[in-house]
Amino acid sequence: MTIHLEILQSAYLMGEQTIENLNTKELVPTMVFRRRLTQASKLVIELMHRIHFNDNRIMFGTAYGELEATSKILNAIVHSSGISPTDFQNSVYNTAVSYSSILHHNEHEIMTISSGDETSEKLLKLGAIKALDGDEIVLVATETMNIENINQINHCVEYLE
Amino acid sequence: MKISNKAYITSFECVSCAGDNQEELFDAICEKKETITLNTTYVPETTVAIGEIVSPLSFDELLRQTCQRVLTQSHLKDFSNTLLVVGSSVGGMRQTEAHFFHDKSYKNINYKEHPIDAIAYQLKQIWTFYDDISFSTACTSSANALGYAKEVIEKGIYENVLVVGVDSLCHTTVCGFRALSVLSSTPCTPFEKNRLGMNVAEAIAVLLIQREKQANAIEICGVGYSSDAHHMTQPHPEGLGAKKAMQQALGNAKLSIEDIDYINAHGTGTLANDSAELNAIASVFQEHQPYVSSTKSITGHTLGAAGAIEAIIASMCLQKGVVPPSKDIKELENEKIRISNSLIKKPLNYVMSNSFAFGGNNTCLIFGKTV
Repeated sequence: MTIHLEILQSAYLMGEQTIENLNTKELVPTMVFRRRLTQASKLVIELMHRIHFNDNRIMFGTAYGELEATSKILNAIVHSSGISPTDFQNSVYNTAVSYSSILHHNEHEIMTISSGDETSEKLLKLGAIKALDGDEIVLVATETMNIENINQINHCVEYLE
Repeated sequence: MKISNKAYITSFECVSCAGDNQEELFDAICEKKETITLNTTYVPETTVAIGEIVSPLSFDELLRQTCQRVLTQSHLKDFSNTLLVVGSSVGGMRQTEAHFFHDKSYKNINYKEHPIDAIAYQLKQIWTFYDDISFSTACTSSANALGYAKEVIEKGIYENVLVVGVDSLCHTTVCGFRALSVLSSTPCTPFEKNRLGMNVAEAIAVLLIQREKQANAIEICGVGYSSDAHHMTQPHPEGLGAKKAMQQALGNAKLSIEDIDYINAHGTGTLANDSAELNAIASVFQEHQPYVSSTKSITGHTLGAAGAIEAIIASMCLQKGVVPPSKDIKELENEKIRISNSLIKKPLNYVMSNSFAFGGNNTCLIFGKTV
């Protein structure tokens, strides 16, 4: 089956270590909410702002999810230091788009997929199939791998965000 | 989009703390068996009640065997013309924990065996699939996988979809839910007014969804999705997102509230979830309240596998004509709700299944009996 779709808007951000100069403070004025955001959440909020779409269905892709929150939990368990509830709630793969939905009061369907190295390709397929319903859909993918000791496992990825 | 095929569940298999297969699970539900165990190893100096699979086989071997049983039951000779759709919340976390807790380092973690895709990666070592995709939306993961299976068959994209809902117990989830103060130290009692919290559990639930109807198949009639847009871990107290998902599923299935015979609720046993879900059910169904129960008192909360294992339970309710009982409810949370306290035998046409997750992710599925 061939599906013809139109790309209406696009934006991207990349950083060898971390992406800086984000407008998070302006885009998320409530400090209590802003302080809980993961880096991936900040990137999603920034990208949504750049493409001017925030009240549509969102299909989100991430291969490794919230590595920083995950690593904090693992280290807390190893050191018997107690898990932060915020780290746990921020460790699920759909964290970034969930914060975006809360910020923008977006009550639409929001999906998260994770298919390893093929995540972006499969996100495009998912988006194409969902878009057959006739609406405008946001596809967004992030990776945030700039965590302490990532070099113990990363030997090939140049851009950590 | 003019193609509108129907999607049928043609075979299924599962493993959980309530048994090695779906018949043992269903018996445990109907007989209100004690399946949740007390554990003191996950959280230091604390007893938590969990749903743990007891088997001489490894979790990975159980996953392989469960998929093989579904393939054997089907008329397929292999999975080469089948889309694999995985729903999982933790993926390969158990394996990651084993390496990290031993080494105190990430160095021996295989990057393909850590993330959500670890499940598909493992299955693709054994079988060739036409394609695969993995959903990870916390506790709605496999409900969303099933919803997607319905969509791709309905739209004529694929003919066969293998949905694998799977999550294994790990320290991250048990200790994490403990940090949120929602774990019970006794078997959970969803919808009981004096409930004490949830039981984290593990399960493997595999369903083959096909365009071609087979004998005794169950149709996935409707799916509804919504977002609470309210809080990362707390549902909207009035259950507005849950209500929207249920209404969308009814609309998608072209059914009215009178058509639903039974709701297999998300019903985790936490104060916030159960209250919000019952408010939503009361609001959606008004004077036509169907029977409601949560089978998590038997399975525990299997997180990313919950939607798939509860789809199997819903299918068996339709096939056997049984409304499963609730367990250990003495005083009901919401008197407007028609809770099934004992097993009820009656022909059922449509069963609704709710799944809700962190981030306010809500999915509702409706299953129907086929003639």
